[in-house]
Amino acid sequence: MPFRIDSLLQGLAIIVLVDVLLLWQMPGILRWHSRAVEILLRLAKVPWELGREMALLPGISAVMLRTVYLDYRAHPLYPAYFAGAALACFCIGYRRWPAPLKPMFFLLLAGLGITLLYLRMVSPTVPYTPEDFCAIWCRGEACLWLLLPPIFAMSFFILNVPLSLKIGWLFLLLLYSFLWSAVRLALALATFHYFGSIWMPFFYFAFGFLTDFLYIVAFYSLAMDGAATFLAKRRELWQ
Amino acid sequence: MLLALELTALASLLVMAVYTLRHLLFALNRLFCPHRMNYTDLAGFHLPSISILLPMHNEEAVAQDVLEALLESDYPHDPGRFEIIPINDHSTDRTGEILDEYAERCPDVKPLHRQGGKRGKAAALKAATSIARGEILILFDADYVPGKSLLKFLAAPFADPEVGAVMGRVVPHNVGSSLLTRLLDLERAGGYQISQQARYDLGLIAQYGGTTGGVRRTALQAAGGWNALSLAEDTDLTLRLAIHGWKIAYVNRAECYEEVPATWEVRRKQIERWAIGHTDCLHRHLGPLLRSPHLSGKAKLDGVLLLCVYLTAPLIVAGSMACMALFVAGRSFLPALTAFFLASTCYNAVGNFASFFEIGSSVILDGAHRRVRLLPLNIGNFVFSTATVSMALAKYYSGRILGRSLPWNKTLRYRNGNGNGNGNSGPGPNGHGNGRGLNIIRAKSVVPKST
Amino acid sequence: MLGYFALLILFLLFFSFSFYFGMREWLRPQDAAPVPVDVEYVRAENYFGVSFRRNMREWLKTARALPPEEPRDGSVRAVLERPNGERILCLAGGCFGGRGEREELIYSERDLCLAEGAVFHKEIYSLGKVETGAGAQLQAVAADGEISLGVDNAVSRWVDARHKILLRRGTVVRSRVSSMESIELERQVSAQSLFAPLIFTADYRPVPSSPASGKPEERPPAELSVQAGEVSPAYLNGIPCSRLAEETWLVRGNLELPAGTCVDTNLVVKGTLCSGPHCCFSADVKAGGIELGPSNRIVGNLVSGSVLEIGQDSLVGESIIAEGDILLRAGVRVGGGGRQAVVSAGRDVRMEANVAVCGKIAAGGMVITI
Repeated sequence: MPFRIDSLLQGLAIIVLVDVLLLWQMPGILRWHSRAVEILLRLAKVPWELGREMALLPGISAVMLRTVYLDYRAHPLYPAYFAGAALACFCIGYRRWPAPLKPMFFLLLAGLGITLLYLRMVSPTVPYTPEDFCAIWCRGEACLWLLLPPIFAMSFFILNVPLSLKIGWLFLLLLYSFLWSAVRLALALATFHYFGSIWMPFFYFAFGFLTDFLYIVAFYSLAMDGAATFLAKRRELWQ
Repeated sequence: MLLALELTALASLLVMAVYTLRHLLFALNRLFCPHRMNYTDLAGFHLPSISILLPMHNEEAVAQDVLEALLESDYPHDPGRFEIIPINDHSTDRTGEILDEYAERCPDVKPLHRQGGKRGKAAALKAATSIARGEILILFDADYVPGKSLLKFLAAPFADPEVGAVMGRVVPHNVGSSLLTRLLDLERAGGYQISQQARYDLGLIAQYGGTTGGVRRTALQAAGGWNALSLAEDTDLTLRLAIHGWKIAYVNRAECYEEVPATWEVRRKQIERWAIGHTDCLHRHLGPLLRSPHLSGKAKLDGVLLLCVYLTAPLIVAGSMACMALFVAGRSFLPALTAFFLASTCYNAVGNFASFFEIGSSVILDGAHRRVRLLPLNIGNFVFSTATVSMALAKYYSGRILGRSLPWNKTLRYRNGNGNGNGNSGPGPNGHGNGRGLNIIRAKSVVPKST
Repeated sequence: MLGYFALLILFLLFFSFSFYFGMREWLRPQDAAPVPVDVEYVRAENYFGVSFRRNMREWLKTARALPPEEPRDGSVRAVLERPNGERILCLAGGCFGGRGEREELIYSERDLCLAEGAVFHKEIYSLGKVETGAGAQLQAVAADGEISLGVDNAVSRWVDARHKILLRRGTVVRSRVSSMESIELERQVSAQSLFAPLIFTADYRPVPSSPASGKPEERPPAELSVQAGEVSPAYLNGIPCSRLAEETWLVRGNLELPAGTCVDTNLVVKGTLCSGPHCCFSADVKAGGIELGPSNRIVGNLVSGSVLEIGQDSLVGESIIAEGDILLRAGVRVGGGGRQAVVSAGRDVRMEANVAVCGKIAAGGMVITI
């Protein structure tokens, strides 16, 4: 039987241990995360400075980065250009694109459209400063890092494969998660700097948790593939 | 306005969280808990009289394959115990001729030709049931290829007098045709190997899928017979049987090959029909389901979740739009709400309305491995399904308001032909059709020998 | 902006990782075959024996004979080696084994007798009979003749014979025991499953005049019987019940049937069904738990959601299935009269003396004679 109850219990124990470790080291992780974002912003030639310290989780705070958005008051037509260009791409490419991609482009349009409406009718700037966005992002990612062990443990640790394989994949997943989060946050801030905050909801929704789950599942699929090969070699009896 | 958006987002979150929990429980139950009554030991020992019903509309491309396969079945072909009733339902191709040729040579084959009356699978089944003599009605779609022992596995659970219907497992055989077929293969594996098995083991309502399955004739009569008005006669029957106290047995061992849609357009029509039919069942059966004295509380709860599954698609769309609007409006608690909504949606997204590790676990249980790498691509299938279901339900509800009925859309077949239902056929092993498709499937089905 | 595009490229690299392996599997498939479904599969209850015999015949053709290098046991006619290094001892028949363990496959052209305490780690195939001494340990054994396993034998896998099989006291077979003729089980024997036209336990006395067809030998008084078409049978008075279908009654709680009751329809009991002596059931019965009294007659199938106990001298015409344990008391007959039936338990099947089953007995746990 490839699934054993003691593997489930083992997974539960690892959830607790890894989460405790992550919580204990979270300030340090967030500092390194911030350093990585700073390096990438420097690469993209986006000026930044250290902002205020904000509480992300109970008892855990971090210093946020402060960048500058493109000011739509100086470029009032930019939001319309972006939304219009997205609409044009959607209409022109609609017939040619594969069916699964069409709804995703609709999501892009929806994100830009809703924000455009807000910028036109409510306020010329979105309600989140760059520091606020950083805080929202980092808080979400910190929660996700704490969720990664349970997600992986419940889905992968239940297999009857060596513990080293399981811990190895979890470590790779966490490492990738830290790096990828920094890259996405840096690109988001750089995009808002060069193209403005109309991209903010789209970035948060499309490249936030949705993208997180894509790589979680990608790692899961690779780990399951490796585990299946291992189990096939051991000729476990399937039920 | 903001309150409405918040309520929408919260409702979406709660619903997605419930479905997430449901699928998590299914997967864990399937993997760790003992299975329920295993009727497969009775295969070959309990042999009631059976009538095999095969609804066909323009199925010349595949008709001979399914007939050949059934005639080669090892179920006793005694005159009072075995009959095949292919139903030629308003076909305009050579389907009728092919069936008549088989009827001339094989006394077990008794075609029913329908040129008048209501069209559609349910109406065809209703007509065939009135002339069938078997105690058990076994149903296959025309593109299925039953194995030799499959009928014995499907008949065995009817030894239990409480079993009203039996469902086997369908396995796509045209897996390599396109990306879509590969994704649907994953989806089917998760749905049958994990979800159906778990629902049966937990004493919930396992779904009778209308093909690769059987129905007890007296149960069908007691539950009111086939509903010719339904686009999802299988779901309709499932609910009516459960409400009237019958059990539906799922037999994982009773496997049969099927053809899944190979193009997104065909898939769209299929999902549209399922979404509308299923939601129509929701409106017909929700009340009786909740009032049924035969179902336990957990079965009723799961029945509600089963009936409402297609409503999650527009709810996801509405929830996403609401979260986006609230985000832009700067609601401070929103990011956490959004994050959890997205997380619970994503948990189901990559499984296409099931948890991603249902699919991963099913791949392991099936002894495959590399195909699990396709899992991230299933997000495309999910997005497509969500959009299609949302539009289908919009069409359905507008139809209800305007009093329009929706037509039956037959799924195109590709085997032996070009997808238009046109096939090239020559003589086969029993003297009819070249059985090319059947031979291809047999070649694919060779089970690797273990050393 | 150049820096921005460099960052964008880095972003796209990370993003594409999520899809890279999936795209590779799609475009260069390594696992695109359908899940194997053997459409040619026909169930054979003696599959292990048939499959092994077929393999052995192939191996005997393809294995090469080894030169006679070492002192051999007198009954060893030849030693063959398969391409994978596995050895086959070809015996002329007679007695074989003794102290020590054997790692070779054994092929015997005539009757074979295995010594007490012999240990064989590979399969044995005899064209004649096989008889083992006490305490032998086997992997699996197939015989074209009869098989008689001695006291306290242990078989890791299966046993298959074309003729009779006798399992003596204390023998354990971890998988299937199959025979084309009969299987006799002494007390304290256990196996995972058995198949034969006749399987019987110790002190079996065939009943000459009444086949185990379940047909009742005596009819109870008419007022206690349930005829199809009645709205509410007498013995269901005061018990919540309903009609599932024309020939099926559903009882929501427990049901106790007094002695001599005869039930003519299918019966589904949500709780526990208990019956007194000399009851008869002419159709299928399902209950949450079943305890039948002595001398009951059941024509149809018996299905229990938990444990199932059948009283002494009862006859069951068709199959018995239970999710829990099954207990067949002395004198029970299952199947017969040309019909084979199945006794299938989710856990253990326990059989007392003088029990006979025509067909198959299978257990999620073990089949045990007590």
